[in-house]
Amino acid sequence: MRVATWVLLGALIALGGCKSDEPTDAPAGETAAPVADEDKDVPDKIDVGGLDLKQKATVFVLPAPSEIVSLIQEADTSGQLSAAVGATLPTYEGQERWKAALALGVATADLLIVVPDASDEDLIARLDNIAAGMQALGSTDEQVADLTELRAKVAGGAIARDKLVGELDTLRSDLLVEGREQYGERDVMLIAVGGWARAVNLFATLAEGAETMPEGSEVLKLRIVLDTLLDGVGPDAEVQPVADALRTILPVATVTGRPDAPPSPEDLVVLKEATSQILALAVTGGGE
Amino acid sequence: MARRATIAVTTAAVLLGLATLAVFPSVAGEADAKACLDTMLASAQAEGYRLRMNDADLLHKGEELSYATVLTKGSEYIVFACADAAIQDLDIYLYDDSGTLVDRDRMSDAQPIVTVTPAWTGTYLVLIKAYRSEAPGNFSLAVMYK
Repeated sequence: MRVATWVLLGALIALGGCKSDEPTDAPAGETAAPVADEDKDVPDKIDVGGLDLKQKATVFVLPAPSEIVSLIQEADTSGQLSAAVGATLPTYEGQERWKAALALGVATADLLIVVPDASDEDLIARLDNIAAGMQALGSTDEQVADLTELRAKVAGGAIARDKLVGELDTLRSDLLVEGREQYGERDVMLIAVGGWARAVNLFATLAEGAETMPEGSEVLKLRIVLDTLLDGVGPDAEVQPVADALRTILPVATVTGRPDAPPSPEDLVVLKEATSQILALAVTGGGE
Repeated sequence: MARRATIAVTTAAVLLGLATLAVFPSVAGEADAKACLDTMLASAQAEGYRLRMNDADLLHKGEELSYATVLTKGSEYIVFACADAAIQDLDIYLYDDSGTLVDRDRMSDAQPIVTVTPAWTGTYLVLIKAYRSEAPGNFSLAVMYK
């Protein structure tokens, strides 16, 4: 048993009293405190190929944009994130649906990246922009109510930034999980592609010239991430510019991060070029 | 390849905070499972964790669902869930891409918690299982990082 488990057990005993699997005298309606169970039949080894992965949860594969950016921040090579992201907000009106989805993904990532040091005015403009993006994809006023509420809190100085970060992380997760039914699988994955592209592009830009790559940077070129994005974007002709840009990364992709396989300077060039193409599609709708 | 190179690490503060929730009675219904998860999310956020993804679904007796997820070397992750009253014992098992068990929840409760600091970047599998239940039950699941 690991130390962490002992700590947890100790806490449970302290908080709930010593319990066992035997029936307790707890009053009806109350549940006995949990107990450790070392006797369960949990295989130490499974056939991963035989698993039926939950299909609707493919977005679980992908690292969050802020998670990618945090790698470069921790390496202390970051500049001003807000400056790197820029102030330009996408427009959704008149855009084709797939472009609006891609742009919404970029806008959402941008908000999550700049939230620690952006002005209230900037945050409000970005929240409004994301609401507009969601509505362009079919969300109703009621469905953007959480955003409206957050906007009011920011405007009124009623929410701390760290609390806002948590709310926005939840918003992003809900967008990808619950949006699957609202927007459709392809458009949800385009939202994911937009966010991923922004984060990887930012990483590649900030890491230019760095002598060593930060720990964990293998995630930028993992094959499963690219395959998930490509599968999600799908075969529709109109989204092939996105798929084509993603495919340019495949030659430098790695199947696993074991042993450490951080991106080389040449890999970063490929990553930056591909993600720049995707970001350009989000802003201009490229190919027009 | 280093098979056991992943080390479970977390702060005692988070464990204590989430353990407080673990002694609560099981909750009833999808909304309550989500409310329970939201409280756990808030505890973890207070310790500096950020939400990667969350999900909610239904599990039948003995059923398990699998989520593939990429975890990054150098980051710390916590995976946890809440079930409604229909599931008395909900478990989470974490496997690496070779199918080797990395960590598992060891409690007989409905709020499993697994923490991990991956020693390598790659694909991991989160299995969530209704180990003991009376009927189909709802759960909410979250993956957080810092």
